Amino acid sequence: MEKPKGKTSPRRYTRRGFLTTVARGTVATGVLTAYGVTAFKAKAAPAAVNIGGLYPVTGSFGQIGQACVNAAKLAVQMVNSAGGIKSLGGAPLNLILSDVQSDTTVTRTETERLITSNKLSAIHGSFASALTLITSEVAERLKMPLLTGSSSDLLNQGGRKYTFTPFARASQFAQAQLRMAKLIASGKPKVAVVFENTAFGTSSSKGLQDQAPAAGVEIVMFEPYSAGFADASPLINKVRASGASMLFAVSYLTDLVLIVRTMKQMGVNIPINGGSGGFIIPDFYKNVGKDAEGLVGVAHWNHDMNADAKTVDAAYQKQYGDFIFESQGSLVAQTFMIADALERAASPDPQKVRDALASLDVSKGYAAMAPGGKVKFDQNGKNVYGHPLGVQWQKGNLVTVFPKGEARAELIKV
Amino acid sequence: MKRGVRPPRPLGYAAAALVLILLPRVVSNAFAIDIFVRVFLFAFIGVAWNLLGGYAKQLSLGHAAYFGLGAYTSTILLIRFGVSPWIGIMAGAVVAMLASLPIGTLCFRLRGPYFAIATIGTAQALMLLFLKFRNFAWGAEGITIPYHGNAPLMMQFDAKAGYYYIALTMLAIGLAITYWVERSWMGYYLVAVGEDQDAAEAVGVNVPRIKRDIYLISAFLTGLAGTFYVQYIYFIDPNTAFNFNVSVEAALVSIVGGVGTLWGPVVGTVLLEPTSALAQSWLGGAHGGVQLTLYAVILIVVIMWRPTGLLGVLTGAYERIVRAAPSGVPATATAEPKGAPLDG
Amino acid sequence: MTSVVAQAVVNGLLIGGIYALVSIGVTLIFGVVKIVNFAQGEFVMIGMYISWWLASHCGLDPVASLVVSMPALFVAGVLLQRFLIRRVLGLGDMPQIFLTFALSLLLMNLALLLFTANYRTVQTSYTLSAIHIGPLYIGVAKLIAFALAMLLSGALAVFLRATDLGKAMRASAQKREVAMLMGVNPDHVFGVAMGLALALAGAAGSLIVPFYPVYPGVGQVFVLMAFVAVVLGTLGNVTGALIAGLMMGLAESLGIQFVGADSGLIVVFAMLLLTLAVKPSGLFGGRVR
Repeated sequence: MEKPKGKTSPRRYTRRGFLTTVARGTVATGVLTAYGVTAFKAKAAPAAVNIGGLYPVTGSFGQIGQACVNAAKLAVQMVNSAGGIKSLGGAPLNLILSDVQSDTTVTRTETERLITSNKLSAIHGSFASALTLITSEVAERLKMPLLTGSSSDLLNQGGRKYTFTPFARASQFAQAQLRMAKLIASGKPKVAVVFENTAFGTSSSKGLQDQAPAAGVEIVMFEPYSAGFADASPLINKVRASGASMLFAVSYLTDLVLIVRTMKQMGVNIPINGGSGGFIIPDFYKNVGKDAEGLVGVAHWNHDMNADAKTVDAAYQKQYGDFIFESQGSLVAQTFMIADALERAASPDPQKVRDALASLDVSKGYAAMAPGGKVKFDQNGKNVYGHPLGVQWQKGNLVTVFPKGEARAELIKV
Repeated sequence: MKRGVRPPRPLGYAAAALVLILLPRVVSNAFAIDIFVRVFLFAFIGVAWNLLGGYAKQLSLGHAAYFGLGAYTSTILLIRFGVSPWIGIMAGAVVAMLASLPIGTLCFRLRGPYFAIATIGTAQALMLLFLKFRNFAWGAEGITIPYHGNAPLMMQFDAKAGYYYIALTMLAIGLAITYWVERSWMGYYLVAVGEDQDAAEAVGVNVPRIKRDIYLISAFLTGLAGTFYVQYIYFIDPNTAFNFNVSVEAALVSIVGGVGTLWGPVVGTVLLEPTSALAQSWLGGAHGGVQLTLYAVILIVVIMWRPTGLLGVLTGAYERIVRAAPSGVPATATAEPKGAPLDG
Repeated sequence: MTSVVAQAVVNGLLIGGIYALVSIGVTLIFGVVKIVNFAQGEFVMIGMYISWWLASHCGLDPVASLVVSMPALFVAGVLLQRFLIRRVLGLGDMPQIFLTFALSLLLMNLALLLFTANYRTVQTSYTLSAIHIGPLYIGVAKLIAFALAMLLSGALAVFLRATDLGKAMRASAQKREVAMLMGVNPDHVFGVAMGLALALAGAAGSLIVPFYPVYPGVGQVFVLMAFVAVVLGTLGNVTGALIAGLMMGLAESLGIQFVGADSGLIVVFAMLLLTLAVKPSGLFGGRVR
């Protein structure tokens, strides 16, 4: 039942009403004044510069993606506590993250969303080659500079202008692996190559196949396998039957763990070069234990490279416990490269940042935290000084053992 | 079966169509347009699936096979032979359609969930095959569509609007075909097969032929979607093209929305796609698995509560809200005629 | 050469035992309750997480943890049937398939939320040891898993044949209405069937923890194998599922050995397609439905 709406009584100026109005007015004025004063007094804080990070926090790469995100946040903290971007008035970096869910479609939509919904100056990502190829495609079309540690050689092809790869390429990894094989083996190495049939495995192994003859290595088995298998025994059986004296495996973590364990179990005791991927992360050692001792691999960044790397490692370990691994460390360097570009561009405009990146030429500081200590890009976005490191698990630590000039420990022949 | 439900007046349709057509002129947020494109695309795939799975109740969980075949055909033609995707899209759909013949012959030997499993198997088998074809179809690494800038003749657009209209058109075509099939003789046979295959056969329906024919149409349409998708995301690899999630979504939207109905897939997509996209942007990165858990819960709730899909719920609600007075025949006419004696 | 083949056969059979265990669960549910459990792999995963948790927090050997995982999953199966499955029986294929499918999605993502995507492994004293017989290497952990898998399958077979409840289940599988007329309570029987099937899945999970990593998506690897095995072994036929499961393991292993390491699954699918083309009702004949 509706209540009959009462007529509003004619407004009357009661004393109470008057006082209340005055009081309200005073408060309002006071607030506004205070606000205005403080606003004028404090110099406007420099607007933050946004950068984007696209990593697979969930899905099959989730474990590594989450680790990358941790490192990305640490990197931004480091840049900001060193004063931010001085040419922009000390502007801090603001990292905007997105989870690409280890899925190509999500990568496509998320990259686009991230770039179009935010005013970004640059982005970095996405760890896995399969995903990064898409991030790069979108970045190229939307004209947003992208830095990535992904090794796929395809990222330097096709006339890309916005994709920058400061670290070693898959073809270079292959070269390093082959050379290491000769150092470890006595006589001509006979190598069995197994790789998972994904973008990462295929591009890495192709490099091996192409360069083996010239490097004096014989490939006796070259076998793609379906990632995520339940049982490595059939595969290892084949390895044994091939008469190989060494195994190169290009895999992510689970498969690698299974392969190593199965080899041990089936008594196939040949040296293993675990590539990068799942091999060079702390979890590999945790899962495989002592059987990881002496296993070699390759990485585009390692935590014992130089003093800067060690500093970053210490900071990371303090917060998260484990040592900082390849993809994490390299993205810290990339964050600093972006900061360097912003400094020189003196503008958050992505086009200017892109141009500044193209003319990047550093040999000290965190931006140069790469093997060899120097970064400079050619017109395909490739670092002209980029090369990989050979690493080995020694006493539970991943140490750099190759090339000779950059080794932090002796290569142990197993 | 919701075939007896009266659709809203044509004026409503025209208004909605007008809004959709004019939308890209008004909305410029790329993210929003992207959601629309995805809604149209997945609704279209759902409509294609619905013909086979909703009306004829042949539960395929392997439609990704046709999606992928369409996508790869047009991409191979484009990159290896320079053929425009406008031709490629047709070629792809035809390839998909032809593939449905041997696949159907094999899989239709099983019924119900085992048909479903067999279809899952075929999609997976195709994925594995394409992973192996490294020389022919780029294997695991996949390939990106070469960038031509704004090239409408090569189905590439700088502005999203181009994709928006193509997807909208595809959906319209799919709905039109469904509408036509629903009201044709084929529609009746489909429903008969869907309700009871054996009874239909007993009554003289050529069940194998019906199944085969509707599968051809369903596969053809799904193949079209595959090509569009590749052109939209600029990338293809076996895992994306033959992804199980595509098969699932194709079926899911119809089940949530209303199997065997014209608008079911659309309703389902409208509910699921934006939810998924928004959940992704709000929760994405916070905790893995939240978004899909949400999806799963929605699905379970819908199945337990309204197994025939939400369309029934929506039309029921619509009836209650819009129709002020009950229309139709007075109650007494349906009552038993009084005094008619039964046997003896 | 023969030793290579022999090793491949051994490898295949050992893992085939696990596939068989999972397949038996699926076929049991299908035969009795007449639904396909798409979530079977996720119950294997749950069994794995239970055993991993007990191993890493209480030091309990995964094989010993069977006494925890099996009853836990049995109860889960009974509850599942009572509260979810029962509601969709008789509604047709679609709701049933999608219910278990949604369940699979839900369980996988809940595991992701609770445990993250990190791979967990358990190292037991016998994880890396193997028995040598001539040139053959037989992993001890896998052998134990195989042996127990066969034992459990055998126990189930005995149960189905010798006990009243087992006979009631077989009766319900063959002719539900007649069984009801004979006094069998279908609800009761379905509950037990699901309980047993899930217990077997959990057992499979616990048994493979010593040599296989645990992560939310691990069930997917096994469920596809199981489904193909169930079709091959004739739907609803427990012995068939056992034999077909072993055949799947064998086919995968030989496929990897002689066709290509990425061809294990292709061989399996080829077997599926061959079955469909030649004998859709499976090895043991009978009705397809």
